[in-house]
Amino acid sequence: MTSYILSVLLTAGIFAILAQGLNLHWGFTGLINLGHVAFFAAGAYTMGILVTQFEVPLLVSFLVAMAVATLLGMIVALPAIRLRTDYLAIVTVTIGEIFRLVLKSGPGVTEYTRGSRGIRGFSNEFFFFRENLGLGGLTPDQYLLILVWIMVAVIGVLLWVLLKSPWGRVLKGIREDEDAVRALGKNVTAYKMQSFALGAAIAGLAGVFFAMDIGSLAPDTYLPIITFQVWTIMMLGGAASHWGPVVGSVIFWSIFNGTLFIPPEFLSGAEAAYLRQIGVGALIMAIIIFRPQGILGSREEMVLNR
Amino acid sequence: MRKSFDGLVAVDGASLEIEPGKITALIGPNGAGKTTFFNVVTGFYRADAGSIVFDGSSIARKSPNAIAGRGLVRTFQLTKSLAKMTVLDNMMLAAPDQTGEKIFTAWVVPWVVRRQEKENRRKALELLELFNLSDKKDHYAATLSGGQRKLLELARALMMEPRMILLDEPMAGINPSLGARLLEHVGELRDRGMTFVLVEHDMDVVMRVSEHVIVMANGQVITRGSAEEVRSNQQVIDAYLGAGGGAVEEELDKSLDAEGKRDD
Ligand SMILES: Nc1ncnc2c1ncn2[C@@H]1O[C@H](COP(=O)(O)OP(=O)(O)OP(=O)(O)O)[C@@H](O)[C@H]1O
Ligand SMILES: [Mg+2]
Repeated sequence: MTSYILSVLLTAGIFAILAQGLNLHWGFTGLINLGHVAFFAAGAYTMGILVTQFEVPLLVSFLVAMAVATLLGMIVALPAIRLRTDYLAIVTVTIGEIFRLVLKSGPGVTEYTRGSRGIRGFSNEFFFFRENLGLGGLTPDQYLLILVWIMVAVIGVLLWVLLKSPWGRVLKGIREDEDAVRALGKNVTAYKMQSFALGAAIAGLAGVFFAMDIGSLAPDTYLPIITFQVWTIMMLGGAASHWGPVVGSVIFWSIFNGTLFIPPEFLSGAEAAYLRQIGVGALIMAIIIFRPQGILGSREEMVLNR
Repeated sequence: MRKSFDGLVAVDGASLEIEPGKITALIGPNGAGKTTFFNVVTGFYRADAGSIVFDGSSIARKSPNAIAGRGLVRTFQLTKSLAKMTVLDNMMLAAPDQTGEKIFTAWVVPWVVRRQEKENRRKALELLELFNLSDKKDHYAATLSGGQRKLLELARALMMEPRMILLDEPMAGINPSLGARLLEHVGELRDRGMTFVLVEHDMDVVMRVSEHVIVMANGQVITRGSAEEVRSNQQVIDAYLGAGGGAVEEELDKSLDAEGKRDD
């Protein structure tokens, strides 16, 4: 049971960070991003490559990982934010897949990413590092769990401060009607770019933790399903609510991993895996029908028409 | 200026000058190209040909935000209120040059941001008071009535302290007594040097406030002059008649009669 709770909380923490980034894009700026997994992968791979092949110090690799995710965010944003909502959705979902395929088989790229063989052996230093922090008494999982949840809190507070500021007010304005905001003299393109970049950086950091958790990097881990799980988490918790992504993530993973408790004589592992997909589908339907604003979302905002 | 949409010529060589510090009315039948003209001037559409000069420099290829930043501000015919933001937030958003609007300074110098917010809030509340929207300040803009949204949009534009403001049918749906008060306020701002251009179908309003009237039809300027001059112009009457009936002519007459009575 404790191992179940631990594993749920660890995955939930990592996905809470991811969803916080997506919430900045969609919940607060109104940008549809269906390629979130690309930023997640960019963070993970940057760290992995830097540590294993360039012997870059750990902390530096974390920062560069976020920087690369940011850069990718800006590159994606460059053509994408000029597009209307539906086209933006198509472009981002495509970029997510392109990024995975490049990691897997891009000429020149596979020298570093090692294609589908993947990368291993980058996490030792990270876990040894806990001794330096005086946390030697913790198991690696506990140590990672604590770091992840500290970051959930730090990012939550950072976003809270930013979104309460006039900067956040401009983002919300863009979400409502970008032409109105242009008419008020704000450089909408620059704000969308910043939103995209910051959300991508946050996803990149989540990617680093995720890589540490599973201990290896393989391109096919980063399938579009991850993006859709993050969307489910955000909608479940409540888009545009500050702590919605966190609550949504914990509930999502509790249910998703809950199939472990089904006795094997009742359902085989493979059958249980199908059951969780059915569960996720049912969950999405239940949100849409019974609580479209999500758990922490505002009903009032939801029902307002434009 | 020339602007066409897939063969439909909306603005067909219209050329006009707006005098600073005056209130100019831009009138013309439906589909004359008034709104399109506004959209091109404010950078939302790109002209096919022509030039746009504001305060001595060309703004023809500038972005809408750059143009607004120079002090040339517009409102929309179809109101754009920011629905899921409060009325006060709608106003605060419009304040120009906010330190807290930049992603870094937003949290690096919180005291500066707080001071500006306080000042902008005061300004916003003052304007809301004037526009009869004070008691709505904490409501979502989406909960306002159509007329109230028009008011909010005008108040929001004024929040930017523009030098020139283009109003697209600002009085549509606003009750006459409040409308009169707003026009009075527009007059005061004009006296302080602000330039107004308003598109308006209500001839009473046009006759009352505007020092110049420019008449557009079929994408061209057909005449300009004082309200009286325009009223008696046969081309204007024809343009409106062509666009459907003599209602406008009557309207023009009626409002001038009313003017006359007031002057007695
Ligand atoms: N985005 C657009 N796409 C296609 N046609 C357009 C567009 N905007 C305007 N038009 C056309 O251009 C012409 C002029 O329209 P415009 O909105 O400028 O008229 P207007 O003078 O503002 O009329 P009204 O008094 O009814 O508001 C119309 O025939 C209209 O159908
Ligand atoms: Mg119009």
